[in-house]
Amino acid sequence: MHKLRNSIAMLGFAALLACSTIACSTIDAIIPGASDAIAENDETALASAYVAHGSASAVTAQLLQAGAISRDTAISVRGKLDVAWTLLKTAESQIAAAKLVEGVQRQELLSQARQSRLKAGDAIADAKRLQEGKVQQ
Amino acid sequence: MNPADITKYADMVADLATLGGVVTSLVVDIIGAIKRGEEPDAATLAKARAFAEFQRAQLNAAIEAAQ
Repeated sequence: MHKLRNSIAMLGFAALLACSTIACSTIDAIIPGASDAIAENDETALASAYVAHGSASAVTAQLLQAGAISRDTAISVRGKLDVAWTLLKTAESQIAAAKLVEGVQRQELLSQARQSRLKAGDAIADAKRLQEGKVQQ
Repeated sequence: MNPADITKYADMVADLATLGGVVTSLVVDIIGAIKRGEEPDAATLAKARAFAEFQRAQLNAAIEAAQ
């Protein structure tokens, strides 16, 4: 029973992970230079980060509902995701503020937004690692 | 395995399949925006944020229900 439950959970996890990473890993094969375009376009990159955040939240909820992770683990993962969420919202605000100014000030705000987004990505990666390490066998 | 477990796992597979579809659709939107050379793509960003907000609420609900 536990094996079946965990197999389904991990299959789902792998499928979701594939959905969100296949495009990233093979994206340049489909559209040459697209990965660079995502990195350069602040709002598109932020959208990708939001999708990663949503996928991580969804998988955590599914694993918890299936009993594959404990409630405490889910709360720990949510803590990491909350950090990422705050950083993503900060990045979005910084991008919005950058649109209102020009020159050096604009570049500075966009740079801060990129830093916030990258830190959010690190927090999402931490959440995924925590989640994967705590799946009950 | 009892029928309740079968239903539970079938629901889980269905949920994950739906989720996979939504994620794929969002990724396709993002790729489409790049293909069209749109910059910035506010609509794609809004959709991605809405997806993340919804899943965040779902996780909070799942944690509450697991008490």
